[in-house]
Amino acid sequence: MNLKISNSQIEHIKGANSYLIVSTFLIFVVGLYFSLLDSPPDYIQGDSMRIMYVHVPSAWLSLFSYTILAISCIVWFVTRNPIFNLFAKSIAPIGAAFTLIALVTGSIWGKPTWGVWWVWDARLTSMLLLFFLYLAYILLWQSITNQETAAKISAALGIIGFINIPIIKFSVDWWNTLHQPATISKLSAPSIDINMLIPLLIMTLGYMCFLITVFLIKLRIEIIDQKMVRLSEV
Amino acid sequence: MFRNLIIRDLKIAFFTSTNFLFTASFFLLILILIPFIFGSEIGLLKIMFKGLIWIALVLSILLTLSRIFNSDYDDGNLDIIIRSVSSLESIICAKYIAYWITNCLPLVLFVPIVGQLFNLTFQETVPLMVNLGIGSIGMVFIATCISALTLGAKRTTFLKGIIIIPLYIPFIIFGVDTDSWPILIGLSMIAFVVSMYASIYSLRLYGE
Amino acid sequence: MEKLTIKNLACKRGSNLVFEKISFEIKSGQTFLIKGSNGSGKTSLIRTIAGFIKPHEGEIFFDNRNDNDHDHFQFIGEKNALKDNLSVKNNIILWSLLFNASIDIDDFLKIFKLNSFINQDVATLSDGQKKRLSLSRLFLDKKLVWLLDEPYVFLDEQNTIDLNNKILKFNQEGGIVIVTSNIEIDFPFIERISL
Repeated sequence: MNLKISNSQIEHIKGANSYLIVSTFLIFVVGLYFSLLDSPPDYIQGDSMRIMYVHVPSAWLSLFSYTILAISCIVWFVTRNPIFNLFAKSIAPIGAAFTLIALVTGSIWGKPTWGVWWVWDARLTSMLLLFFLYLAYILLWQSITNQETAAKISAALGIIGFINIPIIKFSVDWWNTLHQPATISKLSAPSIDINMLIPLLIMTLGYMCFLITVFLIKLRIEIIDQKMVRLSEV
Repeated sequence: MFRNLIIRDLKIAFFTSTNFLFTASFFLLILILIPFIFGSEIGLLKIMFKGLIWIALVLSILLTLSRIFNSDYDDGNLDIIIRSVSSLESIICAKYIAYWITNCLPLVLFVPIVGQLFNLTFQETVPLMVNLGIGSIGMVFIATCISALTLGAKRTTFLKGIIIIPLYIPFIIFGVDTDSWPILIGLSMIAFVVSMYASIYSLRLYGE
Repeated sequence: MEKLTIKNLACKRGSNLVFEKISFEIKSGQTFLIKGSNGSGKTSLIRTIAGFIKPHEGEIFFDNRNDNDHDHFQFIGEKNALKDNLSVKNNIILWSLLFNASIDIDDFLKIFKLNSFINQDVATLSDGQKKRLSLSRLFLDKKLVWLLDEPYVFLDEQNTIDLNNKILKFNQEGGIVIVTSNIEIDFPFIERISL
């Protein structure tokens, strides 16, 4: 199946991206102002809680990215249009990076709160496993030389991973309540002050713009890559 | 023909000394490391054994993964197999059975004997064997499925491990808890369905 | 009197069109050569005829039936289907399980005069000997069509003549043969196609 994307469409992606880069920058400036300066500190954790504004959007978007990955794979199965595999391939490293950021910031948040760099609580552990699911997907693409076959196999793996996410979440939650009943996770923050919610949402929006920006860059690279491979074969 | 496929896999294992005597001895020796690492206090040894037996199981499955489809694909035997057997399902099921018999069954059967080294009581041994048995079946499903998916890749031992181990974690979590065997059965059934679909898809793709 | 008819065959590997508009007909007692350099698609063509690959276009008729069964075809591919770390004898035992046939090992090895290797590991055999061992599978069953992908590779002059004699004998018994090769072979091919 040939990639039916014209060169002008690639140019459009590039054009749209320049708007996105500006928006991302602006939203981040606004978001960071609110999160770092204008929002109240937590009455227990003080200012160290502000890392939540970086950690939580990362975590949300890492899960969101995998959902997009899985949906792209499923749509590929239905339509067999190769662009959807490229969607999945492009979003994988981005999702992996967000997962890593979530893990590191979660760890940094944990240090002043619990005194240790890592706690085996349900959410962090699930994030860790999600990171490995991303890693598996990315490595699989790299290890199969024939790109067409790699696309088809990775699509299957993407879906398998997605099916496993609820299973893993369920298992890790169960395991966690078994072993650490007394730990109250400061990371979940169930009832949240409106003054904290707004910066959080702004940061999430900023992250989303960033995600789309980088995604489009990666997608362009992948499309051009595919076209070059196709041309060299002919 | 189905029987032949299973017998063939068993013979290959037997001929190439990944047969059960070797693998069982190997893992017995790994388990024997436990007292040397942790000391000989009985209570601690028992806890360590009940946990590390699962690592022994996972290693047992992962170390000989290439036997599942890769070696037959590489040397051309898979061509013959796909031509001689009409349904891909029976090829895959034969693989499940043969692989489980060679890699997991010896481990499960040895638990009562090896358990004596670690002072396991009867009430502790039976649930352990049940959980290992059920969990290992699900793990074999997953291992076969991932093996089929990575037929075309080179040097896949670690790659397959990276893909498979996160998928094994639910099995491990519920496997070490002796009351969770119904959940293990559920997990294994889900693994069976996903694995069948993915393996058939893979074999069709690579069969060309 | 059987006939193998290939009509307008086209095959795609991924998105590449490997070959198209291939048509030819072979009758009982005839041998056909598919000639082409490496990567020209001759393996894809013979594998499509053998039924491994679904053709993009075109049809294959055996005996005027759209034979999707391929039961009458014996395919010997480029890879030898031999486990290097096992002995010749053990490999034959494994084949007998795969083909669901009881194979007399001595008779099997006698075909290409490989009896002296019966207990040796396949890894110690030369490439030519492995090829001859692989080709011995042709005689496991009485099939009507032989499809041989690169059978002459690694065979020296003497063994090439030996193989050609066996093919001729099969032709005389009414068999149809298709071979692929990237070099010229001294054999009365009824027809050839160059990819």
